[in-house]
Amino acid sequence: MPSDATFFARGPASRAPASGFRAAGVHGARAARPTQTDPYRPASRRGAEASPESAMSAKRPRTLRTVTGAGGRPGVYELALDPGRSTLDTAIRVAALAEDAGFDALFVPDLLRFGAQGTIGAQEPLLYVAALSQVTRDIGLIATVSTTFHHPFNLARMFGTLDHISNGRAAWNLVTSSIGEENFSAEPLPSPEERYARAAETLEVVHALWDSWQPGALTLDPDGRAVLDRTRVTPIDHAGRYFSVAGPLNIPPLPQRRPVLIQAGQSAAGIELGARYAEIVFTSLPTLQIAREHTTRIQARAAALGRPGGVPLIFSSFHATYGATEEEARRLVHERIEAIDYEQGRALVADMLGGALDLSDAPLDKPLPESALPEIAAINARRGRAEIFSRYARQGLTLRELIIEAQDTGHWSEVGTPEQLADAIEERFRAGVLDVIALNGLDDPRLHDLIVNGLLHELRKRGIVAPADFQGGTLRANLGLELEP
Amino acid sequence: MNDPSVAALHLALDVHGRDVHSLRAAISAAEQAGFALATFSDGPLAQGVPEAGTRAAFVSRLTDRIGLAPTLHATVTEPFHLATQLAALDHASHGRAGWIVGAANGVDERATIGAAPLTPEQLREELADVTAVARALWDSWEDDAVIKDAATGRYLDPDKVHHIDFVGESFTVKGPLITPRPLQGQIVVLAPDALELDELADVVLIERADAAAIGERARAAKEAGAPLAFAEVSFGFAEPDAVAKLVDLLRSLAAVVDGVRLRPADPATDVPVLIEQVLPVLAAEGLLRPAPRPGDTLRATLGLPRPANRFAREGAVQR
Repeated sequence: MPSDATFFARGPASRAPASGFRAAGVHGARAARPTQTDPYRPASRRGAEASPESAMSAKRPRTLRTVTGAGGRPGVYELALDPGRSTLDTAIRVAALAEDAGFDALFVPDLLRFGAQGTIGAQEPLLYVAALSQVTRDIGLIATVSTTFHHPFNLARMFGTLDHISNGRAAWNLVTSSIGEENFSAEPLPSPEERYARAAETLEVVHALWDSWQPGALTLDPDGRAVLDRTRVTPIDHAGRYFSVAGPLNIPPLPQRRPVLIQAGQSAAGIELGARYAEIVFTSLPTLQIAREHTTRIQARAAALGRPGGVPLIFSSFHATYGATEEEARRLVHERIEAIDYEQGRALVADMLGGALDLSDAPLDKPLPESALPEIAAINARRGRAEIFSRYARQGLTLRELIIEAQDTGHWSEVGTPEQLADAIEERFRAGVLDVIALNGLDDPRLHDLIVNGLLHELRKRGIVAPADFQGGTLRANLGLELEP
Repeated sequence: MNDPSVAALHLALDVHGRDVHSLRAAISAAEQAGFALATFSDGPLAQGVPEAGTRAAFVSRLTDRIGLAPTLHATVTEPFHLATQLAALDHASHGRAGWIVGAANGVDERATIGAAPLTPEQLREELADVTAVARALWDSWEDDAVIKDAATGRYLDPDKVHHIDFVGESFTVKGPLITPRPLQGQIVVLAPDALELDELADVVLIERADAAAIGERARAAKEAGAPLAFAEVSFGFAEPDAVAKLVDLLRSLAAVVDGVRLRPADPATDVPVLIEQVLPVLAAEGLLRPAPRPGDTLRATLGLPRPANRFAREGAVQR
């Protein structure tokens, strides 16, 4: 055995065992407060939030977990103007601020196509996260990577390496991609069913590869040298519909055994994949009502598949307009709405509705006719998003209102002071429909102050967010998750 | 720095590390010793070795002047991912990325992606296609594609971001890249001589039995258009006169190649001897190129110009 067999020998041994979930009721004393009503939100969304308390709060993580984006856009372009600087500089600055502020994890997105509507990826996520791993110590590192254009053996090596070099801080945000097929072949994007079937098989393969070194395969002799027991490293001999992979993996067991698995995508096929495999699901849940329905659906399906209560955890991006005062927040929203280019907005709404319709002549102040709405099953990409926007259209939102909604691309958006925003977050947290939240904007000094000294401070005061202590050792332990068999 | 009349060597070192701590120590020692380039060997089935691109990214901010060149295997990696990962490494390292073209083609190696080995002809085509597509993607954003127009909120000039519309033997790529052009314009491509990619490479890595054979292959590489030729030198100090022998070998190589990639038999013991006993002798004789300075790009260190962008309009001013 080459000496490099010991490359990672010290990783897993230094890890503390993961802590378990806390029982319900620990934080149940505070009554949920109603969300501040917001005149800029369409009326049909207000008042839709009166369903009974979710039954999904039987088992909850102790506190709300926090994530911030280190992707860096559009600042990435300002940096690119200066050849003496690197786009990683912004990410490093955000990482340092996030670690100081006690965020649980950094999030790096991926986009496989440069282009339209500002959806421009900053950098290749796996290498950027690897670079961030050496300028951070404790914070989790979430890389978004598609299963549609990667081979599982390569993914197992890349994420395996990332988990090792970060001492167990790696998480994989699994996506199946709605764009980018033109960069990998001349074939059209596979259907959602095909993409999710490939994703499921990818997970079966990478899990088997990460488990291909059995416990005890690598031990230390009395002189502290690693000894490999080859009989405990076994091929996986996978032969499936999409892949045949012999294995074993050529990397020793990961500090976390597997990176934390996050899954994004909430079409029917996406929900099935998330319920079956994900530890956390990244969601677009614009209203409490939709959040309740989605949480109930995916966690009930997970339970039916024999998984523990309360998983997968619900992860939402929080598109907030922060104001030091309510007036400031409203003024900022007003300015943003004033600045909307409604002609571009028509294309954006068409995109949110699956991309196959032309809204260039539709009247702005009337609802879209039923005949204009797409058949969901015929849409090939981002079906979950199309479902949300079809639903808005059926609720009678005008095209103008839909364009305003589309600015947040179907994500949860709120407006207010840090205290008001904390109310909105607390409502979802207490309702059991929010476990992990993404708060973005740390690289903007004004937002940094409002987020860290305002919102996070308020959430900590209320006992919703705990001061991060990173006591668990690994990201999974810090998130209060236990690896299922 | 790259005056061809000067018979002095660029130094590259294949860097190992038994764990993340020794990897940090190894890269730091190589940078301190003035190496131009650290290389990170890899293979899809390399035993117990972590993925090379990730290792290079990991040390990208522990260093500020040494080049970082991982081996990425064109035969088992999607070309678009490969080009994007190397571009990200170049951005992360402020322009110090290199790529050693890997061509893993064994039965077991190709089986990791469920494929059979390529025939020699297919392999040549695949390597040429992947290298060409990576180079095209690195040019797909012109240098001045990024603009700043606060009034309109525009950050890009769409006329300066290009599809590459590459159609190869086994794959197609439309492009453009998702990242702005790498800081070096083009990542430094190092191709082992056996791959016969001389005309697509910046550096041909030559493995031959002696200095004469290496020199002959280096001349052929230059004639084919490769700007630089490096000799592959494996070394160890088990034999008593090994230090003197290595000094002699490097002296003779200085006359026939532009640089050497040094590959230690036992990194833990051989690299310190190399740095303490071999390099000072050569430096005293003026046979080593100056060490890179903080902030130097790898191209600057190697004396390679920043290439013009193939998509830039005729007559456009190049940086």
